[in-house]
Amino acid sequence: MNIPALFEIVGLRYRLLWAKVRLKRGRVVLLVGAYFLVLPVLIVMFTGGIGSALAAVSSGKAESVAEIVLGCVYLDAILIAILLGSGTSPAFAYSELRRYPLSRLDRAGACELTAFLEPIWLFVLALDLGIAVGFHAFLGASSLLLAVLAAFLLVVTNFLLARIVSVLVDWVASRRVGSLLVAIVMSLGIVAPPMFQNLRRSAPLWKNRLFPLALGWLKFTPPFVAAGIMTEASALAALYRLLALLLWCFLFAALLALSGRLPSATPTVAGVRTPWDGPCDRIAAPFGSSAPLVSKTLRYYLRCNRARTLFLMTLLMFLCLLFLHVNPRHADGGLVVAIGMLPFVGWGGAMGMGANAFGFDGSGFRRYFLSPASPSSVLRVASLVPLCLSALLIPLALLCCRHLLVGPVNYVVWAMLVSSALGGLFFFNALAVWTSLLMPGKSEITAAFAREVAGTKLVALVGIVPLFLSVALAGMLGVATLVRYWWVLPVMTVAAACFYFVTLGVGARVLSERRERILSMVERGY
Amino acid sequence: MSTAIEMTHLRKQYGQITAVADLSLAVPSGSLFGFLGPNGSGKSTTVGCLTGLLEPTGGAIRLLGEPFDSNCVALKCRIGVMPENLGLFEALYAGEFLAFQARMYGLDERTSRQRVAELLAAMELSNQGKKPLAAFSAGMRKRVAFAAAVVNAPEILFLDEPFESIDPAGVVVMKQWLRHIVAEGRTVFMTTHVLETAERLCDRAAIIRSPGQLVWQGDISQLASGRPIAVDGEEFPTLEALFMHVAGKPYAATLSWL
Repeated sequence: MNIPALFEIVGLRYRLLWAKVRLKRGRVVLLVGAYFLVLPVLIVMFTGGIGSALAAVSSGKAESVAEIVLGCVYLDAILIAILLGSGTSPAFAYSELRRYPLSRLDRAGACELTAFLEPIWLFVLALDLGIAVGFHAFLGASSLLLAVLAAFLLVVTNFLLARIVSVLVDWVASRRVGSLLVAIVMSLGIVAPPMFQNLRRSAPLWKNRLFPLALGWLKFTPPFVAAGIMTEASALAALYRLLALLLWCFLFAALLALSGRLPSATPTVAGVRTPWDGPCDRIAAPFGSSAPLVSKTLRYYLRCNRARTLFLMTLLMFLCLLFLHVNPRHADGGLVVAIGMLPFVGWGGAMGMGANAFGFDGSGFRRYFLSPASPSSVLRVASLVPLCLSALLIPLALLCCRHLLVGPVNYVVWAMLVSSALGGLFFFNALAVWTSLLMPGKSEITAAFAREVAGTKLVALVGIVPLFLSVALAGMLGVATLVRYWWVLPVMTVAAACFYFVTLGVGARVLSERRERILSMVERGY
Repeated sequence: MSTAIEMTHLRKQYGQITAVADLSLAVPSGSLFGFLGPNGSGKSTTVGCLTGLLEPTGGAIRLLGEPFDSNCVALKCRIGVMPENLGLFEALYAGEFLAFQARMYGLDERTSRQRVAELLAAMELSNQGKKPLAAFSAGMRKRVAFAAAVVNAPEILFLDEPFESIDPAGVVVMKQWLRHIVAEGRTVFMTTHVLETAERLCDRAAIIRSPGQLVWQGDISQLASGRPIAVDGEEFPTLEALFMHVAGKPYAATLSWL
């Protein structure tokens, strides 16, 4: 392998990253970010790992707890990496590196290394290393070196599996009905842990037969093998398990190489007449002079794998989570959870493309200013299309509430549910406008869950935090208090709507003023 | 003869960097105007300012006799632009993109359909089916961008490096169209690095050098009939010779290892 060239390419990736923030005080921002955010998180992860090892040893079931912790971290890392598009795609395309005098292996190595060195895998590595060190310190496991190696190899398998899943998700999502399939699988992946917990408690067949059987098979998986190494007293046995982990690495690497051979999903139908007068144009027709912008934006949404999948996933996840939390024994019947989760429905639509509304246009962004269109109409269309698409989900989500909620669904409850949904819709779409204007990034429409820009991640995080906070707060207050102060929700909805419409007005001026900067960001990526 | 494009003391700065220093230029209606200059001299920036993409830092622009800025929606309907980097919506198909352009410029449904169909046929793009523009070759993308620039039959057509990457047959067709547009009394404002093309095609030209400073402008139609242009007491039989005299810097570096 051409190691110097490999490191040169990895270095280039970081030089480009550095160049992106090389604005006024950009370097300072990066340094502050690196020292005051990444490093503390790494330390927290590492000490958290040590803490969980200590808890596992104190519980007296060191290996079982290690298996559960490492297994959960393993699955969550894959899910988060794919959902946030972080650490699942190389910084450079394999074909981009063909111009350099590098062998196939070098090219593949450079590509994978740039994806592996994303912060997410460093955080996972810190956590796994903490667990390994913790077990060695508190349990007196065989060898620290073997435990550390196991942690490292575990993260490598975790990364490789996330890459394979990401490639498959991209491939499936780009097929007809693929988005629906991916949405179902990912929704199930998110709701699977609480579902299994419920099953374990309630279904005897699962508890007595299927669970032990599944556990037997799981013993061979990387997190369970790594847990065995970290808690193993015999060095020889740990070494054998380490070899098994190494085999997993080779297997996943081979599968990743094979996944690169999946046929391209780009439809090229030579000889077919170009369809340019389709349903999108008919839907857009009533919008008058903005109709071409509306039909273009609708086409982009229909062709964006990520947007399609997230759109479908939003409703599926809402349905699954509501179903899991509805408890017929309590009077609230899931009302608290429904109110907490309904804003999520409005958030889902904005997540697809709305949070980076111009990022998918690339050099086409300049057309908005060359064409006879006002910045306000451009921004209105860029924001109202995801808002309307998300709004389509709200009646369906309310229908789910109607059928799943236990207890009386009277006018007050309806007002609360509708307000919660509309409030989230306006708030998150307003936020998406600001991230589109202030944090745009170059994005590819064909990549389902690949590289995503900071703005989208911000909306994702801002969306998740209030989601859980509201559920927790509502849970603490109780349904009686909620119903007593029902009017708070409509008031908040009106405030959110005002925020949205003010944002559209102010945003048009910002769009006009920042157009050169946005063009540079969405066209060149810096 | 009326003036189609007029810029007075045009200035454009990107922070501390001056892209166009102080450019004053008038382009008569019905001319095929070549806007020439070395790399980085400010040609594309000037076109960006003239078409509403960029906000000039200073100076004034008049198009078709009316003052122009980026908010002049009505005036934008009368111009066509093939910008730098083409500005295509890459997820759309060729027909969809042309239809988008036609509708944006306010063409009615019947005219849009007719023009899009004719342009697709003329540009040999009718059979590309459901192929997004991102999958097109560089030359085909350029054809789409050219078609998009002319779909509204503009009174002024701005073209930034129009012939680059297009095959010779395509170039011949495009040149014919440009001559036809000019013969109709419309104006073409074109940047190019191919001086032979500019010499044969354009009737007037301006040469600028970094940062957007006009060094020469005038009639170049006489070059096609073999008559030289006199500048600073010297005669230049080709546009290339004139360009090198007013704006060119010969590459002095010698690479001994090459």
